[in-house]
Amino acid sequence: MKTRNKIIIIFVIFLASIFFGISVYKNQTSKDRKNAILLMGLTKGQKDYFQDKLLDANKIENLIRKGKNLQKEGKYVEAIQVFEEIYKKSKWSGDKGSALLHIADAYEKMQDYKKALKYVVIDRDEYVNDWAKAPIVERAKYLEYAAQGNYEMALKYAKQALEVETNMPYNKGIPSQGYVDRLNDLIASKDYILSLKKE
Amino acid sequence: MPADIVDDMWDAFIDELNTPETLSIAFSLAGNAIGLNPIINNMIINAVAGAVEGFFENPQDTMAGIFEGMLQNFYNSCVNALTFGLFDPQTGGWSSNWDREYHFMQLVAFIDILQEQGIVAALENYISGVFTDDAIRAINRRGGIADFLTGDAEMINENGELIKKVTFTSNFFLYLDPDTDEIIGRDYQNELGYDIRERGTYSVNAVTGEISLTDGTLEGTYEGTSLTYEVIDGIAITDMWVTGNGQNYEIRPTDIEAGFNLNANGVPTSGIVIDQNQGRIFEFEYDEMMGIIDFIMALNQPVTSETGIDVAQWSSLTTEQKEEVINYYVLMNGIANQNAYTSPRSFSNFADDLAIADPLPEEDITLIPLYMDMAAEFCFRGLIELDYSPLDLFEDLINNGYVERVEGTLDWGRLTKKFYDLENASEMEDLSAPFIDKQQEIFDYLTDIDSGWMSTISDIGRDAIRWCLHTEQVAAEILGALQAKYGTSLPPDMTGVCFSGSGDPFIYLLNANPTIDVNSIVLVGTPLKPERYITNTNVQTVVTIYGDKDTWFDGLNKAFREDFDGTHLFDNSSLPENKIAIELTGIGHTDYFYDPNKPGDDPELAQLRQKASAFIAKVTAKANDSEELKRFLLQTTGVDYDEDNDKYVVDLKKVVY
Repeated sequence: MKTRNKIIIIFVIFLASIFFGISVYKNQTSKDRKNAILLMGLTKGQKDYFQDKLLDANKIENLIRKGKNLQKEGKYVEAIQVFEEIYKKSKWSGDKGSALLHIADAYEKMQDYKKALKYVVIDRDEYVNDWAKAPIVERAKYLEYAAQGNYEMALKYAKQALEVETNMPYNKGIPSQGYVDRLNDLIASKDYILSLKKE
Repeated sequence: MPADIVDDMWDAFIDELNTPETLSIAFSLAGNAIGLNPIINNMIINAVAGAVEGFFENPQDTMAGIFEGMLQNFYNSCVNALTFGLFDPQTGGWSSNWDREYHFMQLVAFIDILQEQGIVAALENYISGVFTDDAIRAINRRGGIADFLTGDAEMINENGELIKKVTFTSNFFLYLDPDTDEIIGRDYQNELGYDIRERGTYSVNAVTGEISLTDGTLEGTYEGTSLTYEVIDGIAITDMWVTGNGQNYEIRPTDIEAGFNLNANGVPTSGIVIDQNQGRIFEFEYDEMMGIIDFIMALNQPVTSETGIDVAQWSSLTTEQKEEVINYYVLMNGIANQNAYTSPRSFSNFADDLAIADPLPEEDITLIPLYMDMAAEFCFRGLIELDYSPLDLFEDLINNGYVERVEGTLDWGRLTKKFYDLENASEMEDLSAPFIDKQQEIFDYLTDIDSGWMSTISDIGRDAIRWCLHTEQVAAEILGALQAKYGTSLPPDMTGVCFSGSGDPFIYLLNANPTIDVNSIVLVGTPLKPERYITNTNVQTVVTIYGDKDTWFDGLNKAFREDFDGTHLFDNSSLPENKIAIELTGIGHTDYFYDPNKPGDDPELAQLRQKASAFIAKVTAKANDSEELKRFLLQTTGVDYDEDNDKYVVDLKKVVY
């Protein structure tokens, strides 16, 4: 084979490798990008302002995702720290209320019903809109009984909380997984709750 | 004591004899306003309240009753204080668990002070806390501070919110929530002569015993220069601004978690400065005690190590710090820069750094500017306003590089970098005759196109033509833009935000390409064609957002879709699983997204647009987690739920962020 042909073949292989490499890299990179956001129909000026707001919102959302993942992994103390950070950082009442609920969820998972109650009550009184208060009112009741070691009453109100939550018009009769999980946790914690009464 | 205060207190005393708690509050606040020692003030309060009670309880012997009441009340307060609030002699019982927890915290603080400063200081600090705490409890029992004291209470409008303003002296004002009478602000002059303006939530400072700002902003103004601090948890100062007299500095703590370390003059000892006027970012650190005036002067100095201010090394910042800085960069880019192609000149030095600071949040946001093409505007406005042959002008702009032709079309174009680099109209000196004589009009016209600030007729004409006739073409443009950014393998779990006519072709694209993984769609003021339902099973959530004044959303959907009830677009479809409808009050079709370059003539509407943009951004960020989105809506001020029509109704004027 002539030298010139060899050079051409090597050059073509070189180019193909680069092209293939870039394609693989680009596709791999794009697969890694979860939760990308596409904006359509906005002008440049609108996009700039909106993007700024979106970046702020995403910072909080990333923290929420982090906190929820920690919670799923059973790292409740770390999760609480993340949600406390959200509570401090976000200026939106919706975020603050949600952070309090997540903290309450974590304490409830840790069977610290007193602290869960504390955060639920603050959320109920300070953040939840009036039209959405009914389920959290019931939740506060069962937590209060759980904290006192009164298992029967706690269970009664936990069931009631699930029922009220399910029947809220915006839920359209679909049970909230959170309330279902908490009821199951409560049932499983019977012995522990009863032991609180003896203390 | 100023005479007017004495008069006010006396008037209150006479008027409010039958409500001793109210009287206590009156004296408490008046005492704070004139700087009375909290201990003395609270002893007076309790004594006076006891005297009033004694007056009524012993009608036969009023003088004895008054003194008996005073003594009893003094005893009650002392017992309450000396048991650290755990025992309440008035009710004869122990406080609730929460009170106990709070007072144990007080006790810990008390012991700390005792060890550090001795018994006298500890008692002073602690007892004053308890006394002032009593006053707060009295406020709560009473149901809020009534406008009892001076008759100077009034309702005022502040940033669109009605709040209650109570005047104590000519330079001390309290601001109260009109519904709860909780303190939400305070204006006063401090000992340095600064006009202080506080807004936020208040509580009793466990150490000083005084009511103080816990969360919110504190702004001090002196001779036109303002320093604004953001306060969190009553301790951490997490953000600071210096504005006025031609200055515009934003200052961030070096350690974001810890917040600022302020010296006795309220000056941060270190931080990162973003000079928004000159586009500088630098770090500073002071060893000495520096006054506020010197601090502001130092900020104005050139950045050298000799001035005590060192230029920040971008590479030494943490990822979080970089993100913070980039947020400001983006913000400034949006306000000060209309250049679609590059960053403002003042930040050009950061361009390379920004590029390598990946992963950046900005990278995850893709704009697909579907309607930047300009042919329709040439037809409508070119003929009417410029009085030229629009196609000749179009060709001349292309020939001179201000416009580039859109690939595959004959007379469609986009503005180019060369246009964005123009400082002003006079730089368009290469236009041909007769256009060279109309530089300013042409420059303004192209700027208007860039800003999307078109007349309603041309805007709707342009959108409607493409919307009705070219769905596939627009869908192909969207796919092309996505593949240009991400390659052929698109990211998973995307969120699509579609304004107006872009929603229909986007859904068409998703249905035609079922492997595209869009988890959620946020449709904003979007009309859809009759057959347009979502069949792509990756889509889990669709959020339909519309304004109650958006006649185009309402009118077009009613015209095209038989099942449209004014709110829901997908009621007759099982997909997607989650369908959420949100109505924004006071918003028309062109009000969803704010453009800082074109704020409009109506400041109230501009504010609504800003709030709409921010709210839609929050909903977008949460759209992939419908449970989290619901939690947000249930707890956001200003959001109501319309049960009959299954929609969330958002009063943007009440939304606070």
